[in-house]
Amino acid sequence: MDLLSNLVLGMSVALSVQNLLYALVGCMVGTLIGVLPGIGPVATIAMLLPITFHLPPTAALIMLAGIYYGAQYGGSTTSILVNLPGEASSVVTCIDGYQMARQGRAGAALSISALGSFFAGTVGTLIIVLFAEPLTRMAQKFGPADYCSLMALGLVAAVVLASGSVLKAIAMVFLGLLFGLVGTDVNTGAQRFTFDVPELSDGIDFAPIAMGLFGIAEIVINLERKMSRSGAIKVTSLWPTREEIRRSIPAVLRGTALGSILGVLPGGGPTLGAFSAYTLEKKISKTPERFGKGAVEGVAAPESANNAAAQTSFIPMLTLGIPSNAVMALMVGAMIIQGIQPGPEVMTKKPDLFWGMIASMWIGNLMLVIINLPMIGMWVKLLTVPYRFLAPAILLFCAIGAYSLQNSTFHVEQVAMFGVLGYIFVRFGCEGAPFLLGLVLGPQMEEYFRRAMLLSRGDPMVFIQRPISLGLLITTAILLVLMALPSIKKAREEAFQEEET
Amino acid sequence: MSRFLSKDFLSGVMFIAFGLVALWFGRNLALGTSVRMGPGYVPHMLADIMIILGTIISLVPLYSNATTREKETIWAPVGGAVVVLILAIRFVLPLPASLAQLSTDWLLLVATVGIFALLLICVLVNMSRGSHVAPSEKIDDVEPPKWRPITMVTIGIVVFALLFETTGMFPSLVALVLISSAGGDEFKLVEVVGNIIVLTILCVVVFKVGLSMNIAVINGVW
Repeated sequence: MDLLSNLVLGMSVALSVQNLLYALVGCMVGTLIGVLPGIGPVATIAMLLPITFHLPPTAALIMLAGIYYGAQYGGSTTSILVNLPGEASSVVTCIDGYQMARQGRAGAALSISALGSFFAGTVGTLIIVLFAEPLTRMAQKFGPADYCSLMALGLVAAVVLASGSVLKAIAMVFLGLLFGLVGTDVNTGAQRFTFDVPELSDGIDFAPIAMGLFGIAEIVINLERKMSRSGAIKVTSLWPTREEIRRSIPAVLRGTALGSILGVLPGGGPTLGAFSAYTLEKKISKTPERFGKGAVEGVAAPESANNAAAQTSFIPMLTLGIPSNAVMALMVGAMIIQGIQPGPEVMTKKPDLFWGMIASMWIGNLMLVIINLPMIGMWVKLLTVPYRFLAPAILLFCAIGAYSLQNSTFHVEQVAMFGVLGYIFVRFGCEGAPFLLGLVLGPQMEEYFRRAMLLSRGDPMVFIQRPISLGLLITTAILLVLMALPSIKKAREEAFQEEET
Repeated sequence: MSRFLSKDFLSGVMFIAFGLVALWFGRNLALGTSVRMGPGYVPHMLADIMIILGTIISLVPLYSNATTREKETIWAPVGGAVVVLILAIRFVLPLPASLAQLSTDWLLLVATVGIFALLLICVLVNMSRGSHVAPSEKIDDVEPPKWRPITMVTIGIVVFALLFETTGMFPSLVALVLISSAGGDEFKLVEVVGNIIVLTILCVVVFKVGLSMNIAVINGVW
């Protein structure tokens, strides 16, 4: 069978010593980042982009993927032990996880969350394997107009799921598209917005922007706040009781299913998955009053959901080349740095990379269970490192990394510039993620738009006449209209308020 | 006057500024036609959209926090004036050629007219139903920034960039760590020196040995 031979190919790539090593490094760094509060997976991947530049493409992507799901595991550890979510997707785990820890069930909560995550990761990987080929085949039928509409849908969906003002998020997408235009125009060779700076003629490099917007801005915001640390709770036994296992199995299953679906949606991802799973568990539970007081389902469901979603959010990126969230946008950026144009061609032209990466995801998940459970004490110790040591270290890695991209200090200056811009964005309440998606998709979208218009001889009706494009545009319109409906608007605001507290 | 310090108002102004900058620096890029788009076609479209969205974003908080009386006496004329002003800036300032262009390119014409009509409708609808918007609606003010972290971090990185190629990694590392540490709340020299030592070793191991990058630790020495 085709699928099986693909998996064998993937395993043979992923099990090479070099790739195993990079998967391990990725998982370790990811866990580390997840454990350290105040720096999320987006900032980390942004900072490590330049380093992956020196690696072969497959190893680079395997490592970045490892960081991504490693952060999901690490984030849950701090949520449970110190009531500090390492990152957004484990915010809900705090609610019941920390209560369990206070009742002396920290070990049980940790192992249930790790095993649930592993199960969800396995299912998520299987889903990628099953859906990758049909979706890729579908994507190969797409014309320029269809692609343009697909990107519009992806961008709008990302906006809908950004917190805060929709209007501002849309404006951020357009700003990202605008920044994406800098450089030489592909069709005519004209210099656009390069200000006679030779370094800009290839376009603004993706890595310095991501580092500045996410890395530097995050550090500055953290420096402004005083970080308080509470002591960690001691872990005694890792074994859950039979009752806890009985309760958490259905929760893990439901969480995995919900997370897998929400992960595939453009704009979805781990955070959305975790929140929805927690709400679902609370709604269908016979004893909803136990939630918030250490219910094991409240740990099992969101933890498996966020990991399932972390896996399945790779699907639109790998098959269509459309990133569904900021982390995936960074992965697209990493592929472009490596000279790979993400899209349906990746699977046909680089099957070793494609299947190797998928296989490594499962291996990475297995590694994470091992990294996390027995070594839990070490990670907890890391929590005591004060931020005033971390901040300069992170800055330094950003600066050297940016320099190493093209051995030019201009890139380092760019990091500083975009750091200031990112800080302004945060202060003005503008989301960075829509900007990043716009930036990544900008050049391609313009290309497809111009090609579609050329093919149709300047007739914009082409976007409506093609059935695929029409369907995508209608979906986009429905999403926008739904956003404007008062009841949905209210529900959305409530959901994000919960996230902030 | 705090409504002028709200996040929405200021970010709207920022979007308008970006749009105007793009229009100004893109003024020499040929628009082309909708069949054969020139390098300037998409930038202009995006710049227009930026300006319009920025205007809407910045006007909404000003308007929704005004009293009914203010709405009638101040905002109706101001809203109208803003729309006219934007039209004027958009077509007169950066693009003397764009009016001639419009008459030959119906897509651009329709798009531009449509977008501005949309803007006008948005403003008008807001004004007519504005009376039932509570004047006490919460304004989300921009928090007063703390200048030290952002300036220190930025200066640190820029100094690093300036020193890196002339002096090598170690001096620029020391500068960056010293300056950025000064941006935090606590500054203890012993800790910072310790941090510098650890980071130097780490950087040499990771970048020089591990990734074998071509970086001088101290220029001319190692």
